[in-house]
Amino acid sequence: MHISDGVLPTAVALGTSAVSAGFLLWSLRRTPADDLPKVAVLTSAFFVASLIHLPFGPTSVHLLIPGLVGALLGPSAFLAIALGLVLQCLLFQFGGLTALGANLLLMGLPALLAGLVFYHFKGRSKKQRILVGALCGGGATIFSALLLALLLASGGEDFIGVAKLALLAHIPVVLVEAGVSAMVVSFLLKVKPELLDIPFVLKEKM
Amino acid sequence: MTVFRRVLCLVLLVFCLLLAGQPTFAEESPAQPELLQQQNQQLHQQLRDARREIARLKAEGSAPGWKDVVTGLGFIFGLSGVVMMVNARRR
Repeated sequence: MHISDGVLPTAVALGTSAVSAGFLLWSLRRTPADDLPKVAVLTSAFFVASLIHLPFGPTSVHLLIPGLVGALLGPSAFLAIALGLVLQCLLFQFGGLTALGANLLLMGLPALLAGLVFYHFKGRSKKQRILVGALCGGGATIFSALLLALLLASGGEDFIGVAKLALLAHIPVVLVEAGVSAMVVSFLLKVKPELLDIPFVLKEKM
Repeated sequence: MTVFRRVLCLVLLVFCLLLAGQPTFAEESPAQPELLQQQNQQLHQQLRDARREIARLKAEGSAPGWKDVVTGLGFIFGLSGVVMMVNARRR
């Protein structure tokens, strides 16, 4: 689910880049220095996850894991995804440099939303945390597909048609991501539960 | 006499032409389309194979290899290391 170079009109590409830059700055300011190792680990997970391809009919789709990154990083997720996308763009030729802003919004916003949802609804019990983690993983991918349709609609495509296609193509990804997120959350609950307690602060901590 | 000779020559010429032209028409006209079709089919098959090969090579070439993955991971950890170092010095 990457938008390629030259698909979006120039105005949309510039606008999404500006909005992404704003979010990136916001995310950067909310990333404490002590969290950097965790951010680096999840950035590399996000970077590598895109190489896991799931065969789907004639084409294949790959994992995205914005939901998992968002749930585990909170506000820092946007930073992690930005770095991961830049490297994917440069090394794997996913998307393109001019579409980077749009791709960043495409993955970053669902990640932030997943972080917010996970922070507010994770509750105390293990079962609930695992369930909410799975919902974040699957839901973020669905949200991503809808954003993709919205962005492509700005380039003159039919929104409903693209949305249907994007959602249909990502049904297996949604399921796998929900499963992967649930597995990671349950594993972390056993091994290092404090990793799941990320404060999702909207106000800047100075 | 000259008129008769001329006519005879003309008739002979026409006969020769017919004799020369007929067998080629008679022999090649049914065989040529079939042959062409066969060659066409062979060429099409070869072209299709070549195209498939090109597509395969293209897919192979564009797929990121291990080198790219390791490069990316190095970048991520290297950058985070630099930032952590800067942070540590500031303190």
